[in-house]
Amino acid sequence: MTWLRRPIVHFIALGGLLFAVKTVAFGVRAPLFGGVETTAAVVSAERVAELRQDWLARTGAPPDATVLAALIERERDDEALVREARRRGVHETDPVVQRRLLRNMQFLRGDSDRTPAELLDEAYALGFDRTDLVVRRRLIQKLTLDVFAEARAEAVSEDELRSYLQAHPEPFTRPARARLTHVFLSRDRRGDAVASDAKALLRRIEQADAGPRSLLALGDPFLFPRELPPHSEQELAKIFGPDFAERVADLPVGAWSGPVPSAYGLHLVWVHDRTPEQLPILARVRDRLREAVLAERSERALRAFVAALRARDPIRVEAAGVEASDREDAE
Amino acid sequence: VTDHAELLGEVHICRTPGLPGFDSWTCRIYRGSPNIAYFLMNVRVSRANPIRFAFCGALGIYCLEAALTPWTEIQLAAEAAYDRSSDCSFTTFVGYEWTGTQQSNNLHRNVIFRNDRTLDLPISFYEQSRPEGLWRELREQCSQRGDGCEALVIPHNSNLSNGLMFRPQNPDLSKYDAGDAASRAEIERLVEIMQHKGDSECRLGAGTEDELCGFEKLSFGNFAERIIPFLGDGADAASFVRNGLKQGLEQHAKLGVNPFKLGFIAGTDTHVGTPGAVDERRHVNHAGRGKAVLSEPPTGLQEDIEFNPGGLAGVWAEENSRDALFAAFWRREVFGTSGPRIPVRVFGSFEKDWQLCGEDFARRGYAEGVPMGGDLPAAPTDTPPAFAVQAARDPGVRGAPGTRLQRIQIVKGWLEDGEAREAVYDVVGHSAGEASVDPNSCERSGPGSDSLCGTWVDPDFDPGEHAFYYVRVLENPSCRWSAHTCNKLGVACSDRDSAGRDLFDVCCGSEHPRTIQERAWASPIWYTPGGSSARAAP
Repeated sequence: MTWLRRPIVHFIALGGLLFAVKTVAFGVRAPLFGGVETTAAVVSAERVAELRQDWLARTGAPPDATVLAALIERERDDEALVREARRRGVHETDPVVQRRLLRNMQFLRGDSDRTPAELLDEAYALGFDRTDLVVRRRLIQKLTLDVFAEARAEAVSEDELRSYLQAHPEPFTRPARARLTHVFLSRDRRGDAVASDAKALLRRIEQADAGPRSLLALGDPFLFPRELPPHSEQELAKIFGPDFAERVADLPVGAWSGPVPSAYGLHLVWVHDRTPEQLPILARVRDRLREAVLAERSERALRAFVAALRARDPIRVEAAGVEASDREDAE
Repeated sequence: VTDHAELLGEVHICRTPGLPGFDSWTCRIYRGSPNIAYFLMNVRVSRANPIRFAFCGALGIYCLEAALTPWTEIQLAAEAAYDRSSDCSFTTFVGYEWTGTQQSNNLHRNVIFRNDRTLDLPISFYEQSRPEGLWRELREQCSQRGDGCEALVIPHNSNLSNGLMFRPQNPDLSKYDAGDAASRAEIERLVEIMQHKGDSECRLGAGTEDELCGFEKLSFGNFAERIIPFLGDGADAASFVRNGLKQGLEQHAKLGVNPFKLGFIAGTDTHVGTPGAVDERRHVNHAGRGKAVLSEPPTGLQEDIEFNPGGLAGVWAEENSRDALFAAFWRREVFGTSGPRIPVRVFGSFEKDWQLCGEDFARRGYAEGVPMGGDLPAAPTDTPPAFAVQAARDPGVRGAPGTRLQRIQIVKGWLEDGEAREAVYDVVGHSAGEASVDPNSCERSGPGSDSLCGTWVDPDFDPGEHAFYYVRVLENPSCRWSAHTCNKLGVACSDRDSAGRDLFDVCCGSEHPRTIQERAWASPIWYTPGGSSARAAP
């Protein structure tokens, strides 16, 4: 089998392998400068196939009907924005678009001695401003930013802040917290006697009618402090384990109670005070809240803007099985 | 989560239709064949003098420009998740990974910033291909800028550095002088002792006879050896933290500065954005290693057998805020664990008959001694140093109580006639072998402790020699993640027919144990003859 060692065999085998990889990995040939035609108000069958392929490449699975419908909807939105941007002449005035077109032309023409203005003219003549993906993204971005800027221009009122907080309390809510002092009785040290020791200690202190610091010298050593600043249930669970943390919510304030079991033994607990779960004072989250209101407002404005564009200038879809036009669903 | 600086822009371009480079071959491979791309991109950043991909344009300008977007997003995300209120409920840091790799030898560093004053763009391996260059640029672009920018550089995965991580040597192969050592020690104050890709504390046969070093070891010293095993076995002494600390003592005696004065943290490095997900029972795998999202749920093990879910970092700080935590990083008052939430606290002192295991452990520890990460003062003539240690087991979560502690140990390293030595002492707890776990049911049994406290006095102290002391806390044995998974898959190691051959061999083979002893490591305390001129925190 000496032929197996010949370089030419290796060469051909590797070449075949590379070809196979290429075919499997990139079944669809992507054109040099995108492939999007924006003259007709339509999402072409070819574009739909691209969307399908992009999704497959990105996620490893083909889009199902719901996903494909959403992808196409977004493509229609994008198409509407691109058309509006061109109607407003953004493609002829925006410096980012021009820089991109110029770069493409310099790439294509190499060391030609034409001026940038001549190259630009040629780019428009060749229709690159319609087909280049970067230009297209830029047109969408430009228009979106304009809509956002307009939506953000108006100040956010106190009412808006308040009603947003009411509608979306979770991200801003502070959990309930308890401030406590505890005395620890170690299961390691006391073994089976830990329960009776704890009860005896509690009885002793109840008879003495003493305050929260009275027992401190009586317990066993504990790695974390005996007196804790306000802690939420989740924070307590990290120190004592989940059972202890859950029990604290039910303990009376201003008295010794227990024994409360933890991961380490038993504890006598004095809850000093409790802060219930609460929405924060508006002033403390004002900046976060305002940003959230503006983000929501911007999104809403963009949706309304695109809907209006599509009602005026419907975007058709041409693809097997998903043939539809805005005239039908725009009502 | 510290993203690789080297691919911030590249990946952003490959995922954003319309950006220049999106249609490049490299990006198409990235999207179409993630496993090939993973290999290509890793080889690219393994070169001695790395060059960016062609699609990044001249001088990498497109990729640098594109990197601004994710770098800004990282900073915004860190800000959004940081609780600046007095609740101090959650703290984030802005950071990234400098993925320096010399011929596949892993010199990776995590760069963590103290606050929101950071770099305009991360300094990556492409800009600075040597750690020395990274430190210099961080000094020039950050700490000398005068606006409060501060950064720490944390070496990680030294076990995959093939003996390069703790070598007192400059890129031009000259030996460290005092200035080199000082410039390293100034910015590298912590080291990652354990993570997803193995334990870096120590290794049997690499400068130690400590049997407990046989824990989460990889059988290779860098990734090339993983692919081509005969290149080496990963046993190079200078890859391991304990040897680095010992080398540090030798350098200190020689140069007057210790370049490897490192506190301990541990991390995950699983790249899935779940830094706390280190439970052996719910190991989630490592992301980005060439598996397409949404592909089929994997059968068999969710991960290559030699890896693990990673560890955690613990910090003793006054409050949960960036300033307080960063100051604690700086003074090295930190610890690492192999996963469980084992809190451990250590103080050292020359007090006579020191006994802290009663009331006020911490208050007295600070008043009468120095905390972990610190330096002992000058030694009195007749008293050896004492170390007080307290640790507690992981309190567990609902339905899954933590494993009890077995014992606390002290690892001492010292110089004797100019040569570094080491010894391991038991401080308090049970002996090895008293408790056990059934690898088939993962049932734990035998005696253990919920918490341990003890004081240890050095029986062989020589006030004329450099030394370090660090604490290791051991849990009782428990099931390794792979045993949990294999049991769930119905593999019975007593029955060859219980699983397919490959799965059976992986689950029941002798190369990776089915049970482990999880642990925590507290930062060392150092002793320098005549006392240390410890630098104050900035």
